[in-house]
Amino acid sequence: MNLLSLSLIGLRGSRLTHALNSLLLGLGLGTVTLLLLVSGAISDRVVRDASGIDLVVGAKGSPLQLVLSTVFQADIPTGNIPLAEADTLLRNPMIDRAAPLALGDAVKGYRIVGTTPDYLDFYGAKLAEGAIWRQPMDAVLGATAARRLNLNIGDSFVGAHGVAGNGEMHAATPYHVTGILGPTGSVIDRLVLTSVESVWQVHEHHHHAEGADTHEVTAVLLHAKTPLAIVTLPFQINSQTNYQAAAPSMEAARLFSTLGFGLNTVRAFAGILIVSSGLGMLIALTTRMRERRRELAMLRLLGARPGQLFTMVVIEALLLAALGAILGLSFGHAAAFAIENWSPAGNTMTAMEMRVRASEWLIPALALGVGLVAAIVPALTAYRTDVAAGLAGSHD
Amino acid sequence: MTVLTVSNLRHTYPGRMPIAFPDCALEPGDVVAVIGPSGSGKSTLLMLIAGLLGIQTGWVEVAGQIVDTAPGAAGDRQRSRTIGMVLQSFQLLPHMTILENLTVAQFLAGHRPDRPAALSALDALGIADLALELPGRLSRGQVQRAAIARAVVNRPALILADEPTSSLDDEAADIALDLLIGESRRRGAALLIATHDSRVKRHVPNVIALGAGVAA
Repeated sequence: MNLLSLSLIGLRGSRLTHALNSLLLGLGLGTVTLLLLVSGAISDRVVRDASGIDLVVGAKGSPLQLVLSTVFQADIPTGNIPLAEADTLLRNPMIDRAAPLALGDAVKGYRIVGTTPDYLDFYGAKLAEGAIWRQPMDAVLGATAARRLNLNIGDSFVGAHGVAGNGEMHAATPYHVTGILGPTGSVIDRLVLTSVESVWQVHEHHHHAEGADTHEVTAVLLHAKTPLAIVTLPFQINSQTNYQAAAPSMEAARLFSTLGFGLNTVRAFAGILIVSSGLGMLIALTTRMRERRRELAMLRLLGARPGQLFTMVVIEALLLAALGAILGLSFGHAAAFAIENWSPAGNTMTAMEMRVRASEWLIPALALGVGLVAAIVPALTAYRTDVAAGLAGSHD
Repeated sequence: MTVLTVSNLRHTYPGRMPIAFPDCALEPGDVVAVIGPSGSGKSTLLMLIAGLLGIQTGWVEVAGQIVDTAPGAAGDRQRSRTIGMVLQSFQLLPHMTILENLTVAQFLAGHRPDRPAALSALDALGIADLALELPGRLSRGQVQRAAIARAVVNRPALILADEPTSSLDDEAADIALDLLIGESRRRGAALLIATHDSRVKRHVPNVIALGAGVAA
């Protein structure tokens, strides 16, 4: 027997009420945990996926849409730009590294990206097995795409029209897997890479149907040689050409400010849940103090000092808060696991790595803070227990 | 050594007449009943002896120590180590097993919880097999026994019993008193019983009648 076991015994009295309050606290903390995991994962993804890409040049339209569709592979492209224009860019002396992207198809939700091997350098991707594409219809798969599509070297597959892969199947032009990349933790893991020529070959009939006689690409990713070039190039491109240059870092910042309102709303909701659970705990403990008036008086009669009763009630509240923290962390991670594993295969926006975050120390700290605040009033009530009054009825 | 000394003790509740308590001294093994009608101050006397009410006039000494009613740990520790109490109702902590009710008394008295000693106390009263039951599952007589076991588990010098036979029938009252007196004597403790139940006189020849002076 010690103060901890005395507190545990004290909680036996209203198990259901205490369990429900801990559950409520757990839901609030679970929401905060999920927010921490998701915002951390988004932040990681933005940093990894946009790493080394200073500018994206593509068809005019929303610059955010251009960045989302070509850097994060998460939106519909704004359009195409002529290959000749892309070639001019690729030869620009201010450019250190560049990779054209040709989008348009997908296989079971995984986007097929026509590009050059330079694209791999943006993400430091290396072949885990096989070889890079050498001729049209050769394909190299990102690590996740290969695993989820269950494709190996030598296998063939066909793409479907549209970046979501829900259009008509290009059965006449199958791809052949020549290589599989090692995991990088970036967007490239979830892509199917091929040459730009492959994408053109698959879509030859579209070009004929639309009467187009020149080839196009969706965008060009650029890494500038100098910081000055990052500033001057967009100005040059946006003012002198019919296409646009967008900076992923700026667009990501804009995206975060847009998402910020939603995240703040969820944060406020989580805050309300946490405050409600704190109030619930306070009410439950205070009500229990009234019910336990005689019990506390008996403990004093048996020799408990006022400070011991105070500590006992504080420990009870902290135990409930700790339970809430455990539930919160469990709920948060379970929800993150569900998002990570049960979201649609090719949905790259939810393809985030929900790893444990250092910032999760906030959850137990928040829980214990709520527990301490909720404990103060009932603990003082316990401290001030009047033995004679508490045992009234047992004597005259 | 004298276990209990009460001298010149008076207590006044606000707006009421002062209660004067007769002087008394109890030696180890003594059994004394304080008898009087409701409101005569029987329980007040026990509370004063236990240090649960502030002493206004006079003094009380238990096991060689003046009862300390000043706020602080000393009085609580002194009470829990030297005095065992049996109350009329709400005798046991409802959410603790019978055994936990005894070990918590040991812990709060500053002793290391001693399960064998607690089980031995229950065994002496014939309820060791109920050690892991909650009080709510016990009969009134079994609760009474458990309360006696808890009162003696710390081997106190003095046992205070407040209305221990209240609402018990004659047979149960006889058993309760026999157990209480027997266990006190077996452990060499002095026993002071506060009651309005005249049946106690059959078991306890030494009686202090409150409001009528010292009768024994």
